[in-house]
Amino acid sequence: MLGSIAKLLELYPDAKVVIEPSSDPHNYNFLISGQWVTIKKDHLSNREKFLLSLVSQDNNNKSINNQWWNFLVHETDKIPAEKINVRVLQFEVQKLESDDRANEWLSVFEDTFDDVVDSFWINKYTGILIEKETNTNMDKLEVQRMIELVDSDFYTKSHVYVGQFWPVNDKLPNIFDMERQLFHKSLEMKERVNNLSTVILDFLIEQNLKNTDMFKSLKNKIDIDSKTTQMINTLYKCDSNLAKTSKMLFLHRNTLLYRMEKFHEQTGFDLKDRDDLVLCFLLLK
Amino acid sequence: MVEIDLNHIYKRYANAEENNYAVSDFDLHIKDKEFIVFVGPSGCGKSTTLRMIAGLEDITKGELIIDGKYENDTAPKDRNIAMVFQNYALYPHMTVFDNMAFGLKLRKYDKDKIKEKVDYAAKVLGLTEYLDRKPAALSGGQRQRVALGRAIVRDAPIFLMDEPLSNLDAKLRVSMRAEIARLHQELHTTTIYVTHDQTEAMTMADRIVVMSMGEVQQIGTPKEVYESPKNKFVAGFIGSPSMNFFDVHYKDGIVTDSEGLTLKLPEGRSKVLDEAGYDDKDVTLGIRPEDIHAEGAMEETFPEATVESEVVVSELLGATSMLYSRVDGTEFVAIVDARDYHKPGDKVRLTFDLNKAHFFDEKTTDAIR
Repeated sequence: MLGSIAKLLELYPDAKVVIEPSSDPHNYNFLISGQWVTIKKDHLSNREKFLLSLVSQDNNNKSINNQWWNFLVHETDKIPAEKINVRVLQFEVQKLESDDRANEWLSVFEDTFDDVVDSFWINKYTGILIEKETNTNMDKLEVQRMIELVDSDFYTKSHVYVGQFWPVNDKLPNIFDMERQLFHKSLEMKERVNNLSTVILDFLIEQNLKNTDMFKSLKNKIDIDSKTTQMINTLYKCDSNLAKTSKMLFLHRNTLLYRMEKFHEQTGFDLKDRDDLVLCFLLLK
Repeated sequence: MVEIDLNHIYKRYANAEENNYAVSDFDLHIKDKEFIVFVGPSGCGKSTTLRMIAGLEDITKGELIIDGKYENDTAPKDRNIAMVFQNYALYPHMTVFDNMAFGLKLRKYDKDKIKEKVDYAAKVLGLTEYLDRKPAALSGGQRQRVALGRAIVRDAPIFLMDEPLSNLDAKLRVSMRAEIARLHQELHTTTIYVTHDQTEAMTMADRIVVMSMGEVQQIGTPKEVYESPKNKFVAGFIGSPSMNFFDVHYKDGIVTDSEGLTLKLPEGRSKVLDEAGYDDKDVTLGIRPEDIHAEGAMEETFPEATVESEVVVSELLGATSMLYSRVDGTEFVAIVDARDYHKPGDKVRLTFDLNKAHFFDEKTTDAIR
């Protein structure tokens, strides 16, 4: 395992092994054999990022002997359960004190769900919980409440990606590949509990647009300070409703309009226009 | 004895742009046993700051000092801090006793000690008779008490509370507010309480930190931030109903707006504006609803600060009534004595007590003093 990190460091001399994922937005973080490795984003193409994430996943797989895991990562075609719908919750737990504590953590986390099919660690920090679909499953907010509770007792810092419910069939491993990538993306986000809806935009932007010259040039046109970011995000969340937005920002409606006009003059983007607003919202991603 | 220093703290999230901080230059000294409230609209950075103190978020820049010790890199478990969250989730399969005891069991406290601590917390919170119940059999208020109990049993000298009452109904919120204030006096903890509700901030805090867009706007006692807001944001955020604002032009001791409002300022107030160089300039006039009066005596004293207005909406609240009124195109709200209640459509003469008015620079929005 450590050998793969050494090889990675050979290939990317600027890569560093760190205790926690770097918060520098210019860095890309990978969890490889329980160690965080951080690399400057500029030094990686999207293809490299994806391949590296797959490599780290393969290394981790070898030590896991679990029928669900083997099925999800295409190591076996044997479908572990039939005629049920399941969702996969992927979690990363930081600051766990020991392996014993990790098992205790998982057992407590599992107990907060009613219909767990299986749960297991795939490495020192990340794990999987598979839950059967019933009419009492927790929604994202309820999972968030539970994770806050568990974190407060274990003094841990956890991220959870709540997958969608899917039938257990031969398509599930391919869907899981995608959910794995979404989970990795969600680890960069402020919210600790995410799902498809909260991650997909950031994910698609990063995959398809972020490194294009057009996107970079457009982004350079916007002076992205915290006030502008908040104005655009709030306008987007309030469906362009000026009264609601000004109320949420505690600004007078005229002050908001003045700022929007100033932004229009400076950038050419009219935030009153729905398409321009959506574009600016995406540029902030 | 626990003092907390937040020295020029910054927070930037992993996927944020370089100059886009969720919290910027947060600088505060918190005294031993103080009850500090961080208040501001959602997304202003108050919870992020609290989580940095708890160790649940890394500090990007700046120093966190607790009792003289640098704590930026200290693990959350070693910070001796208890935290209460907005979401008062409890383990559904555990009894109230076990929910409160769970953190202590993980820390390998002996059984007698755990029982002693849980019994004490249950007594303080009036939960003794519910110790054997499961969370599903409790009301929202009782569950929030258990969440408080989970923090109390930790016996920590610092309490961090993140909007602990926001999921409760209005009536329960008022009674829990008093209960938390009582607990603070009883437990002598240094407490940091986060809320978006300015009423909670005003009624509970020794000092209030008003935040907006990741920046501290003002730090002061409830009286200071209410009576001497540093800028228009603080003036508008603190106080309910909010302060009335008028975009006016000031010249020769008189303010006028484009909608027909004309008021003569008392000498002392116009002197301040003149000395600060605002003669013949646009400023924002702010006046609190309780500083607009309907009594004849006020009109006699300040005849040139009296306007004939039309009541648009009126609300009788018992001892007082709120008159949402209009002078030509300018709208404002006044809180007047219930005897001065008027129906919508009534004409009423209202006097602005301009000795209590606030003035703000039109561009910077800073208070003019």
